[in-house]
Amino acid sequence: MWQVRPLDCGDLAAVECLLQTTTLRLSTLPDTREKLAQSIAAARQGFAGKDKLATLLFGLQDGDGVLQGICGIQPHAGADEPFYSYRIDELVHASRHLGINQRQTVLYLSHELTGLTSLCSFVLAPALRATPLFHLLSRSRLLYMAAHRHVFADELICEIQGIWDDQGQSLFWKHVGELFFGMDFITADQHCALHGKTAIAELLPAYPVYNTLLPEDVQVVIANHHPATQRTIDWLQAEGMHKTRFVDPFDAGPTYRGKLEHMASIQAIRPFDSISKHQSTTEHSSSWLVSQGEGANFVCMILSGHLQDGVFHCAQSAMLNDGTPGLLVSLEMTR
Amino acid sequence: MSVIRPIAEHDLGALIRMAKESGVGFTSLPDNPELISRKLERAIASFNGDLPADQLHFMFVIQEAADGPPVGVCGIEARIGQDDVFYNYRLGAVIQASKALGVYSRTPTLFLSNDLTGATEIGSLFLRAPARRNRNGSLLSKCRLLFLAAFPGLFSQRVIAEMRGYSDEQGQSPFWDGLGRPFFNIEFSDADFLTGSGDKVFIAELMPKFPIYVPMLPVSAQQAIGVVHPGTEPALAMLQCEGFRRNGYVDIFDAGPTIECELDRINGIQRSMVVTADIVEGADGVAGADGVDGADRVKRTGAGDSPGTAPRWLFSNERFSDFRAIGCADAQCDGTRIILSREQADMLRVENGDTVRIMALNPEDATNDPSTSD
Repeated sequence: MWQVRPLDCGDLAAVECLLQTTTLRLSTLPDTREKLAQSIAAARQGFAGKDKLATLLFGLQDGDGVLQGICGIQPHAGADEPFYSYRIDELVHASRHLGINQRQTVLYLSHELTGLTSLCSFVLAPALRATPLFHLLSRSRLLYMAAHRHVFADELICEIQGIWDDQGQSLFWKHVGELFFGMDFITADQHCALHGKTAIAELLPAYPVYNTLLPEDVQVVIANHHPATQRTIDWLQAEGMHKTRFVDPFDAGPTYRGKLEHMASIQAIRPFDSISKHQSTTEHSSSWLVSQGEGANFVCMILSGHLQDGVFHCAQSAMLNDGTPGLLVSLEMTR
Repeated sequence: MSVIRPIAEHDLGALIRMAKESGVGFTSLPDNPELISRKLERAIASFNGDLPADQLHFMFVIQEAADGPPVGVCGIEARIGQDDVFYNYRLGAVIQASKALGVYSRTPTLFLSNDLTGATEIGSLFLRAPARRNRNGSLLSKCRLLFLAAFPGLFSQRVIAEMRGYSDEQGQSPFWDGLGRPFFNIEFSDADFLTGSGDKVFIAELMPKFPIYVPMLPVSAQQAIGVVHPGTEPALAMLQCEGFRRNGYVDIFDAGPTIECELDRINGIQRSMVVTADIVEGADGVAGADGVDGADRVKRTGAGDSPGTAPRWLFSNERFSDFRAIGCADAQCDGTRIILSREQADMLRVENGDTVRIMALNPEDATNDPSTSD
């Protein structure tokens, strides 16, 4: 039975395997074994409530216990450091006298998103991306947040990867970051994994960048997402998150943002008090994302059944505890 | 003999003609009769003492003979940026460094500034093509130094000159194309006209206010920063000989450099001398009869327009509204007295015993004739 659960230290090798399958950049998941082990250990502290800033990491495992996906929640973006974005803003350069009025797009470095809760570290085996497991993995995080509301900020963000070329280079980086670092995107990305994203972002130019001075093909990639992220964007929008004027300072990928309580899944979440193993035949059965347990004991899966008077009737809930309350939400997005 | 005098009402026609001739890139003489007329009025009022100190803008014209037409013009603005805002880019740097990452990066950066506000600017120099001979350009340029020397109280200690920046044969400025055009969508020649027309402040309002990282500009624009127009190189060299140095500021439109010198340290002012006029009556101004400085040194003064005896000296009176300067091939001076011919004295409007300021045209007496505008 597929389930999402907190990663633990024993998952290290499986996580490494999985990271090989993704072409997306995951600055929240380092690419060295040692750093990765540290991240997982930190996440365990987070699940245990001992580290409120640690990025929580979840794994999706199949019925044989094989890891097929990862996702994460950074409770407070930037943790205890500034979280860097570029804010796309506009200045009107106008002269009544000369009859000139031009809107100029300007990128300002911003820390505004610091401290918001960030959905991150999403990896799913390619063959599973078009299946309901995409929803299980993505939305399990919302169920976790609903069950641990106090740990998270009121607003969520999700950084979407920007446009890269076939060599893994970012055109935006080449014309902005590289001018100040003298290192290409891939090298900078490796530094991010090693030293943290903030340490790199601190070296970004502090003064605003005028878009009009960037080559046109660079202007075009700003706030544009990598094609591989389309499914995630569709989901974020269905949840009610919106594309912001904030972009990643490295590849200019867009950032989505929304209030946690406005998320469609959050609004549709129902609590249940217990689980009944014999399903009533009269009720129409449907698919649900069902979660139970706190912290390191959290688990989330897709189950068929129906909710009645606080009891979730389900025939296949062997992995869940009958007497334990939990949360569920329809697998079908309601919005 | 060339003579320089304050501009006058009747010079309007000549000034308008020179404005037409001066072309793109010469913002201080816009091809617009109404604006030219306004400039002229201001200069006349300045010489008449009708303007407050911070509004003074002096203009001088040069004529190749006492009764000849004006063939060139130059100016001194006492305090720039007083009635409108004076903009420059300061070429500075931003350093990004991290020991942990092994990064140390220096990024040249243009900062929009009004730092030069209140400085004295020498500028507006234009000499008609046929008159680019006999060191007229030098005379015209350096007469301003004598005027500064005579009336230092009217001017800032900070004296600057803006050098025309690089533009190609078609009048295209790569700096403008790289930085100005994206913000305006108008041609450099149009922008240039607007700036000279007194609308520079309006244009500047449209310029990017945040610092510009130079590497973000097209390479051709980067390469034009601080580069003077080929035609301005002689003027730059001449002022550098006088002690002017680049001060790190460039023009916001064509990135031409600003050069600067402290008034008291301007070479021409330091080497100038105030002496007493000793007028020797006699044909052709042949002097030396009194034995001053030895008759053997005397060739023929006041012969600036003879090719063989180009002027090596600049003499001026020390009058304000009646300022005059002339070029002379030689100076017979014992350190306190200068021998002048009657013709010279008349052109300088001095009498026996009046003070005259004299200056060797060139510190090394070996600078090329600047043939065009600064």
